[in-house]
Amino acid sequence: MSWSVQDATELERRGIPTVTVCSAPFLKLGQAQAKHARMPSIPFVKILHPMATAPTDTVAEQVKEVFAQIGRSLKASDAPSSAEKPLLGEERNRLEIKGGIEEVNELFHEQGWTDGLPIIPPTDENVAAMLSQSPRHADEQLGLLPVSMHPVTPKMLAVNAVMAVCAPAFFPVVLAAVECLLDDDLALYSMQTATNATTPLVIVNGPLARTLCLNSGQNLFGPGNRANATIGRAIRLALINLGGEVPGVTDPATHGQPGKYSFCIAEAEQDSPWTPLSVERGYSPEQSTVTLIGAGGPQNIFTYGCLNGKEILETFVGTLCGLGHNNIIFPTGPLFVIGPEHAQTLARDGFSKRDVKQYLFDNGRIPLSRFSEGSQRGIRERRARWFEVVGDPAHIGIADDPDDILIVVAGGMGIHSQFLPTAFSKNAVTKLIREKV
Amino acid sequence: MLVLSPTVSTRAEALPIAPREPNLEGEVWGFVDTSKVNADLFIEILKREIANSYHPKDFVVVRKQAPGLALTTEQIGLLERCRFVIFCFGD
Repeated sequence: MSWSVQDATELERRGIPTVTVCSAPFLKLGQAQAKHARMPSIPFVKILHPMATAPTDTVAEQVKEVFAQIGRSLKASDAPSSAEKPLLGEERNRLEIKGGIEEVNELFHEQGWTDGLPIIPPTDENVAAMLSQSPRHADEQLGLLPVSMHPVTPKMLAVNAVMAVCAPAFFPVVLAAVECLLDDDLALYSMQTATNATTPLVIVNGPLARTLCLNSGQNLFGPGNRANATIGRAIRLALINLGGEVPGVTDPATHGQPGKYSFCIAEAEQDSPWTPLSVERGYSPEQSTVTLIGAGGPQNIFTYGCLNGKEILETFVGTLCGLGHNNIIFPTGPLFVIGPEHAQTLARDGFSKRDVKQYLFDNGRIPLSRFSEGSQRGIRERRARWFEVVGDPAHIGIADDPDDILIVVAGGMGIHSQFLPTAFSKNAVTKLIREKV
Repeated sequence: MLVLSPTVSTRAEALPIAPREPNLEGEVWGFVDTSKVNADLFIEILKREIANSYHPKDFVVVRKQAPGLALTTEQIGLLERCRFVIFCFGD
């Protein structure tokens, strides 16, 4: 449904009656979006799913089937009364629960307030401890978090960070990451309401990453590090509890991905021959930052037998040139998490970070003839800038500009790197991590 | 055990939808093609049905570059010419 409901509420506000046609699996999502937009009476008409692969006859039958209902939704007689002004939401700040941690966990699971894993019960005491590290006032409104568009405060974030088992020292990172979530460039609303598996990835740079012992090395996308695990988890719990994410309702992802439990890494600046991501994005090496981008699950690039930088890059290009990944359709620019061994080999062979981006941009192009006719049409529309600016009408590239490609050096020893297709975000969003002084 | 709720507790008054008229005859009908596959076909067939039943003055169709994008100011300006707007579709 993505933005249709938001757009429909905007037109309704302007006095234009609308009706939103949606296929059956997305009806609940649309209704939830309408409720979050405070316009629960907005009409929907349900059609069969899937329409994308339906033959013309089926589409025509569906139109005939719902035609009368579309008309009724736009007419006065059957539309819900505009005089109805129900109150949305309810007051519920504190809960008294009989029992201990197990009972709290049972209730929180039942209410849909967890990610399915046990939580630490948020009490006045542990939330106050979390807030003791906040550089912002507990009740300061930070912005409206999609999809619910409810106002978010450090206090509400602290409750979710406690549940995620964050140490209070991690809280400034959580806060900065949420500031990124609220930035329009991240396009969180579209990301959260899509069937795509994309979700925000948190990348931490600067001295605080080392102080907090964030993992930038071996197994950094895997388990075993409290900071990576719980900062990422706090973000997810905030999206669930403050952003109104409900799997299967407001989160209609076809598969989702493991990164939706926790998706937080640090850059291995000490192992990198190149400028860190945060410095590329305008910050000094002494400043600590978080960068967020909508990312898919990491795809391993194993450069077995490659002896030099050029062979490594050719393997990277081969990975990029498969059909069906997000950076063919979305103009966001892919993310590479390059292992330190690969980075050192590339640097040894004279490749700067900018050279790597340029190589991937120049060579990461797929002949349009490999795609179906329908796919070619979609690519021409959604990647219009490529065809306008780059001027290679026979191919589609993996980015519209070399500088749209993001490179982070991280990981342990080994001849592996990771390709993370990105989507939705207009740009990666970087914010300074402010600590309490 | 006294615990804090992790959810937002706000109370807000629901906003009303636009007023509806009893008659759909002879108006300008707007369509938002979300760019989902077959949305354009659905709209073309729907336009024929509307033409037969409601004798519209005109049709306005705007197509999104991607379903996840908001309508542009220019597209909203075009749709403000319309008496009704149909979003086709979420799928």
